[in-house]
Amino acid sequence: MDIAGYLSHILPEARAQAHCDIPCGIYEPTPAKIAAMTVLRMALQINELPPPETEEFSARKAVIHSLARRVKVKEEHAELCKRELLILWTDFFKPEHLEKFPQLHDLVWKAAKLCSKNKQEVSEEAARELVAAVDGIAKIFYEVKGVPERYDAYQKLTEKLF
Amino acid sequence: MLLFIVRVEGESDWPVLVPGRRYLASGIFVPRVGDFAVFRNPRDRQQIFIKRVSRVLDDQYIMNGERSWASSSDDFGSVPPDYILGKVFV
Repeated sequence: MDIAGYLSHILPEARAQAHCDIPCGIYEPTPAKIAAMTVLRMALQINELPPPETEEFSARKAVIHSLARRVKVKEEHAELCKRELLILWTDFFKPEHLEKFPQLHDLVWKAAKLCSKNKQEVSEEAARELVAAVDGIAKIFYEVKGVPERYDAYQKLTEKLF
Repeated sequence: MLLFIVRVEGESDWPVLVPGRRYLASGIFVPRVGDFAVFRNPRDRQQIFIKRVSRVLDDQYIMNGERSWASSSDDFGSVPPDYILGKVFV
């Protein structure tokens, strides 16, 4: 046993944190926005799909196939959006951020609910609400990081994805 | 405190300070640049940190971890002398 280990039996002991008090990972709201925009794009495309031209199975099959592919992508990206938001919520944001932005918990909770709603429905309105919710969280994210000007760059990049 | 033991939690000062290992510290020695110091977080007195003193400016301690991603005075600010608990003997 080293000397400090030996003396720990007779001296008072304190625990000191040498961990990384800032997150070590790379956190960024852009993936959540891309996922939300994908959900919106799929909702728009599903709503635009024309009905089959004939009653023949081959014609219906083609439409069903196109529909199924878009529904699958919409489902996956709504789930991905939720996951990305929850990573920011649980891993990036800290209690002091909540003190500064007390609406944060409610915003993330509602955004996660919107992800579920977009899985349940094909709704342009719900998809646009999700995009706006992600933007609201992104704005807080950049404020917290001390780079509020990056929100404009984020908007510029993600508003013209399609 | 004349002498006390500090147990390190976390890896931001590794390999110099090994997580889980105990080190001897003393409150009667003033930590100087290059020393490791135990101190209270200026943003939350309940938290006790251990970092290396990188500079002393206007009687305020500027702290750094050994790793580039470790928290430092850039995150929690400079540390006033009355927040210093002691110098660590490595």
